[in-house]
Amino acid sequence: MVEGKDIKSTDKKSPNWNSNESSPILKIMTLPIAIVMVAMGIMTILGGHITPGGGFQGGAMIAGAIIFCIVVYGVDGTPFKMSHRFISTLESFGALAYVLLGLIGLALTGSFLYNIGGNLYGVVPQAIATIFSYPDVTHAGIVPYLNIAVGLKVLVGLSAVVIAFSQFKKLAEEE
Amino acid sequence: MVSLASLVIGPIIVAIIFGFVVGSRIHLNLENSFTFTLSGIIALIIGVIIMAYGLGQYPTYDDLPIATAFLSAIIGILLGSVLLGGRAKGDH
Repeated sequence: MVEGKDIKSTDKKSPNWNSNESSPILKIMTLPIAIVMVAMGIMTILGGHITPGGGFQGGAMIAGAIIFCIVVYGVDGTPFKMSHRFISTLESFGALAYVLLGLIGLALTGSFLYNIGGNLYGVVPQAIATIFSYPDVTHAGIVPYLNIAVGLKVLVGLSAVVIAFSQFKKLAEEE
Repeated sequence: MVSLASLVIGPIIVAIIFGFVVGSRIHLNLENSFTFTLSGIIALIIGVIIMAYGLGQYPTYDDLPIATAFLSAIIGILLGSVLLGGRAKGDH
């Protein structure tokens, strides 16, 4: 340590995410903007097979909306009430959907994640290919479904990280 | 030529379901945030329709000149939050 210069780690003020000290303008505008951000994220996920973007990008946009509300309203007052059960359900559903789509391709064709909806090589019966076909003009098969599964995982994963970080200070105060 | 017969229903259905799931966790009437009255919802929908026209439809989709997935997602979010959002409880 340099003599005469005390380094005080407590001088740096950390954001208090458990308080509700935002300005009224932020409080009024944040929720409608967050709703529009969520819709943009869903649009990005669903356009993942024909436009730039996809599951990860769209999920990150939705998580950004949730994080936006947590920063402005505080973790206790946020309108997005993400319970532990909801987060774990969505995460599990996304992971299971991805793995099951891959396993169905493995079982029917011998290739993991074979695009059974698109069926480019014609190795899957047409009736099964029709079931997994996305109702779309591009006939993308299971790719949009994989994007949705990835989007669900990313949206709850990123928002769970921020919710956990925002609660550390509250936990420390309680202890 | 706009034709509803060639409407691509895949993104519309999935966007409504996805929006409903996310919207089911949103409280619209918290005291510390924007309170959604009927006029607030109408204002949001008008703004969203203008946004959807500006965004445009996905490439290769030639059904409508507006972003149908975006509009459907907003409808799903509002439906989910109105029907289920008030009962949602968070752990925090």
